[in-house]
Amino acid sequence: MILSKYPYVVQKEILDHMGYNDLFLLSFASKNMKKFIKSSQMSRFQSCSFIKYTCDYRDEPWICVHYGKIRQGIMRIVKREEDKNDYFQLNVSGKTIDFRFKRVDQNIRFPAIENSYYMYPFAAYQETEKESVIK
Amino acid sequence: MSSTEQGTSSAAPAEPTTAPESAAAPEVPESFYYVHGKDKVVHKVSAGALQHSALIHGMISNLGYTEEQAKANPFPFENIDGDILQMVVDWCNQHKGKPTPPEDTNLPKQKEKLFDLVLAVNYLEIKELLTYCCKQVAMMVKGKSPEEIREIWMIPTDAEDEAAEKEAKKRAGKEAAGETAAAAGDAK
Repeated sequence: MILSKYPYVVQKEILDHMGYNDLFLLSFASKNMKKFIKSSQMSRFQSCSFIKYTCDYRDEPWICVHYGKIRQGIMRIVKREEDKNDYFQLNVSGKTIDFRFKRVDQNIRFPAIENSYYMYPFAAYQETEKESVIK
Repeated sequence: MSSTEQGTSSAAPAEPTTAPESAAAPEVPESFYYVHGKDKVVHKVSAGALQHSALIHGMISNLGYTEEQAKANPFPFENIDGDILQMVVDWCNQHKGKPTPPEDTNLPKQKEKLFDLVLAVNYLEIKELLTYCCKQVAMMVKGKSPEEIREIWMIPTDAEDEAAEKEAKKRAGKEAAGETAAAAGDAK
């Protein structure tokens, strides 16, 4: 399936059905894709009230987008688990950061997302580089 | 359809005509139209089912096709595979006159079939089905890493994009040079 073979309206419609966390990861696929996301989802991004960086009771930062009365998570930032080997690396603003997916039950924390659970991106940091990863 | 409705309402006073029309509406026999895809297999579809397709609905209302004309000349959709058109026709028949549900689980799971279905549905302008299909395509990459997404949707890498851009520039340059040479030849 070649996404670029679809007409613009179809590509936009597909992106319209993606959550912010999936769009965030899709933007790393290529520079052109990032440009396309920015241009096609402009009205959606403009409807964002704010992006919240917050910490939960475990002192683990997480980032979510608020639009209207709905909030949708983009990612969490957690301490790297050395026993896990399913990390993939992404270059975020010039810094290479390890990411992995973790199953999150939607009913507990993120009521805005459709399925009862979904795979959620977690950025991981080594203790020494915690601050730089969060930045 | 709208022109006939306007005609009747202008010919008679508004109040008495509207009530008998709505009462007589279910008795009108359903008209059928015919479509065929690449495989030339003709599909019979009711006008009610075809309401979903803005393209076909527009063709019927703008061309003023009667049932007989439609039978003799089925709408040709040479760019749509027969099995895909069958899927579209089945969906239109299933959802004829019904409110569309928020989700449709009967869409094809195979990537290539879904890809062709999206193109066909977009061409036929069936908005609800396009929404379902696009949702399904979006679900394919849920919880996937950028590398996996790139593989699923065959997104070119930055290097491939740059190479394609260079190639396109080169081709455009050659075409421009060819055109100027031809123009110079004509002038001589």
